[in-house]
Amino acid sequence: MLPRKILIVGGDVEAWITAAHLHGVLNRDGRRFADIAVLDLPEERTTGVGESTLASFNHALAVMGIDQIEFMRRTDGTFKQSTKFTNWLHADGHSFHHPFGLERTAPVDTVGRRWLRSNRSVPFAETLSVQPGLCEMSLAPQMSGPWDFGPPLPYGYHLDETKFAHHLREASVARGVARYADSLASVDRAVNGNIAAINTASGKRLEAELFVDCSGAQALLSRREMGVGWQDCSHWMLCDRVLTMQVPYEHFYPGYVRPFSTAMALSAGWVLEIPLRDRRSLRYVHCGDFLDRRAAEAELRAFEGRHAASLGVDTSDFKAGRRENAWVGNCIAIGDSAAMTDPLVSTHLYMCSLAAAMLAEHFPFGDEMQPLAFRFNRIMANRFHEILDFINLHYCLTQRTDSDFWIEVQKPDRVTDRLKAKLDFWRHKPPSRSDFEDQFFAGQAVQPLPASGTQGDYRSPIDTAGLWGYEDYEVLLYGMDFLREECDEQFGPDRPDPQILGNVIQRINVARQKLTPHDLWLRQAFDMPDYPAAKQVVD
Amino acid sequence: MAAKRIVIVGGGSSGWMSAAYLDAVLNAEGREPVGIGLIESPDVPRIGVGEATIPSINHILAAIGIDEIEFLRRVDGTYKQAIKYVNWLDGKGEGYYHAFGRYRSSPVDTSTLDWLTSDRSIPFSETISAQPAICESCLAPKTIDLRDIGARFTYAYHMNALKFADYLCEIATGRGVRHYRDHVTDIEMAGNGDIAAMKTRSGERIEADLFVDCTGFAALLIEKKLGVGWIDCSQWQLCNRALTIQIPYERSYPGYVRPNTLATAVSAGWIWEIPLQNRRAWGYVHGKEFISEDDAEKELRAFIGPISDDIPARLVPYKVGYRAKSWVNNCIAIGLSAGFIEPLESTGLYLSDLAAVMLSEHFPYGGDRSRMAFRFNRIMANRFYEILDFINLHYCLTRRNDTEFWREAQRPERINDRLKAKLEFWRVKPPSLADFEDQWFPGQPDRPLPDGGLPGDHRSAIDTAGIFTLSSYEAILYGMDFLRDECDQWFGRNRPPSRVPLNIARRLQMATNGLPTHEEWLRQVVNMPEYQVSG
Repeated sequence: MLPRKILIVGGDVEAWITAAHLHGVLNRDGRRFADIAVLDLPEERTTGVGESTLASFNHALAVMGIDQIEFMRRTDGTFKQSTKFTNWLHADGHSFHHPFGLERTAPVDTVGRRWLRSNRSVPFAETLSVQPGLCEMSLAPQMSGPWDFGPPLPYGYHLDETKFAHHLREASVARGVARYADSLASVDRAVNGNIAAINTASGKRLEAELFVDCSGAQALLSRREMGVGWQDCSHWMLCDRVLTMQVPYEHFYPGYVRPFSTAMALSAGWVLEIPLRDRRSLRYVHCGDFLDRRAAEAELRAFEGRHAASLGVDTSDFKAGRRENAWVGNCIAIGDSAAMTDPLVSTHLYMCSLAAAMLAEHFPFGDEMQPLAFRFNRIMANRFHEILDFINLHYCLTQRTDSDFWIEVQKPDRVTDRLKAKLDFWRHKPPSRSDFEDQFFAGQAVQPLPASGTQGDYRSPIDTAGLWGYEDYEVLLYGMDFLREECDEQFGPDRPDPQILGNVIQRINVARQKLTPHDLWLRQAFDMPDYPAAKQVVD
Repeated sequence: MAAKRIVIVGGGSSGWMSAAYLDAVLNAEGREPVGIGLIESPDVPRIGVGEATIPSINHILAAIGIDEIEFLRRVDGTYKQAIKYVNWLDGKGEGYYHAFGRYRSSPVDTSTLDWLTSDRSIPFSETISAQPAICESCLAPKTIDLRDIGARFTYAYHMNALKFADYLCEIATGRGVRHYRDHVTDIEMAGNGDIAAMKTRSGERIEADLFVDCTGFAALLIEKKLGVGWIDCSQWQLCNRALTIQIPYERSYPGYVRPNTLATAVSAGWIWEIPLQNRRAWGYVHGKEFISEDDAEKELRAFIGPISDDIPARLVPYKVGYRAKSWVNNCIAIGLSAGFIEPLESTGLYLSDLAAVMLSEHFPYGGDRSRMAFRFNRIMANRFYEILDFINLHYCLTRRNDTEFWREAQRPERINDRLKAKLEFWRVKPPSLADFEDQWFPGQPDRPLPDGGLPGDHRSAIDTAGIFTLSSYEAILYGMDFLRDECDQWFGRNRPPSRVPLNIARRLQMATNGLPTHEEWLRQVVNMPEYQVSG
């Protein structure tokens, strides 16, 4: 019967994204399909990690009914237009951008093939996007006055995750989501194996029809209670440890706020740098087998510079993988309890929003849940494997040989079979739209998804370009100098300069007059203090 | 190694569309030029495969560089904004629209749920699109001076497919495609199983790296020469021939030109009605096991009325099915040689169009040809089965039991397994966008594609909504009153009246005030003659 009772277990951003999504979809326009409650588990940390989002996050905000500006205000938010990858191909400062905005020619997209026939003197992404240029000029994707810079520039955000959780909690509770600040003592099961109720430490018994496990890596319900297995993927995502360092602007302000994230490859992983309004948040994501903790910390400090000596560094470990079936019985795992990946492509918040949106889309109006779980699990598995491939792609095309880590990641054994088949195919034909219709290429092994306790869909995961289409693959592949030899062979040594799309040139030329510098925009909109620029000393 | 010469065998609309599209895409932008030739036999009459299209035609027109107005002038074209289905559910005069345009609310689309939680007092299609009402009023999708009213309406065209072929021929040959008016007498093979050359009656030997088989059901290259098998799909499509009649407006003009195709269910199939600038065409698509040719003709003439007396009808038999592999070695089948599905959703030209686009995307520039064939075959198979499901859907939800044909069409064995799994799933949860990401539902059997005697990708066909998305499924399902009982259970019997969202009401009002009738538009913009209203 409607409304159905849903209990979300877990108190951080994953739980509150789920609550806000479910409320935003199911209890819309005066309907009330769900009674939503959150068992808000005690928080582990107080300083939020800097996180970043994809451009699709704006849609998620709209669904959750969260205003963009208010969101930025509350989360120390800044704009993100791109991720810049440095030293991934060679350790010589080589870099490329993966911007959100990628323009194309119509009715036939010839951008990729045209670049391949050129001499590559302009990086691929810069021929079809204005955003690498805007990023290097540190410009906001917004103007101070009314917008007259052509089509809107897509952007995501950098944000403080903990502050975001608080903002969503406040909004959700105000809209009628019940909150129990308590912890989990025990779980009551029904005869059919479903979860019937949760007993809290303070003695409350919380009944519901659906239970969402947002308890993080510990997976209190999904793993501990329901015993759903975990598919380890660390073979293809070697990184398993993160060192976090916050660099407050009061301590050190570089003189700008980058409107993009940076991913700087180091000896055994890479540093994610996220600029917020009061600090930069750094994460050295690396593989413990190749670098001990102490050495990693030293490397991170050296990377940041002398001023980092006095800053604290937190350590956390993670294991890349996924829950074999995120939805089992009436228990749905969302967030780290369902999947964990290398944070390279900023998909953590995306996966939470997607799972919440899919739960809302597969909401049981009637009594049958098994068919809904079947589809939910398939979609989440497809997307996880899509992310796995795409992260894997960043590493496996490296030509670095300066450390064991980089030698290891390019071994064929470290490339997923599906990605191998893709790369193999693309050596014969550059990527194009139809490759993503239902990715399966000659020679690709059929690799069924693992079976868990439940009956399910064990076909191989299928990449339907839910997140990244051929356009993004092109940016990554050509950023990593893919098909160089093949093109030399096919088109010869004398090739013309790359063509840059006309409106990219036009916009770059007027960008400085039109767009506001990112830091200035943040100061104007949010009273970000005018920090004095420090002088950087790197050891 | 790189393919440099293509020869297309067959000069129908598939042949010329392939020629013009491949030339436009492959020989653009300083690419290494590819020589394209087309052999058209003077002995073989062209078949016009359907005269209605779907909106994807606009892509191919744009890519070839064809101006819309010029196109309409050359092919006697008219606009098509929807298909109206009459008598499919109960056979009592009821109807519903499958319109090309669709409104959705944002950021959360509740347009379908709004209708499902209502009492269904307004047909679904009218609550999600202004086009059904625009079609009822016979309005054009744009103004005389080619402005849009609000956002552009999505549309396709009705046209004379033979004239379209002529027009494409003129364009393609004008750009350097070589036209051989000659009859293929022999196909010469190379040692490796490839086709080496076409030998013609006039004694020519025409070599190429790739041969495109556009020879229709004859399938001279792919079947007669290479022996690739045909997968029969008649189990899921009871119709196997069409009886057609065309009536010029000089004989009878109704006083309007519908901007939509009409598909009316009758005793053993359905009748299309397609208006052009100079005539209307009717076709009775039926199963010969259910009605004789004579009876079908009587029924068709009764349907059209006395205006059809003494105008001859033409019988076009066809087979429903699909080429086990449409790209084998250096031969690519495009058009009827690759597969056919009844024209209920006007997908004939679309499949040729898609094949041409896919061939250009997978053109073997030096790469390993078999890898290109592997993907090409997978994509074409996926799409064929997607269309098959969707056509199947139109029939299987009928409640008619007035004839053997309609009783047969709803038997479980006439519904393919994948569609069955979809319908069953949608009785648990109304269809939504995520269902179309990679359609696969509980209970669906894993049915490998046939191998056609060749190595390949034998997974089941996967529906990725390449053409028929959620919107199309919703139009048919709810047009056929799907989920009536389930909604009673989920949302109770006392539900508020259906309503037309403000956006659609507003759009409709703007359209009614601002748009000319379709007929007037055609007269003023493409010089359709003025006809005396009669019959």
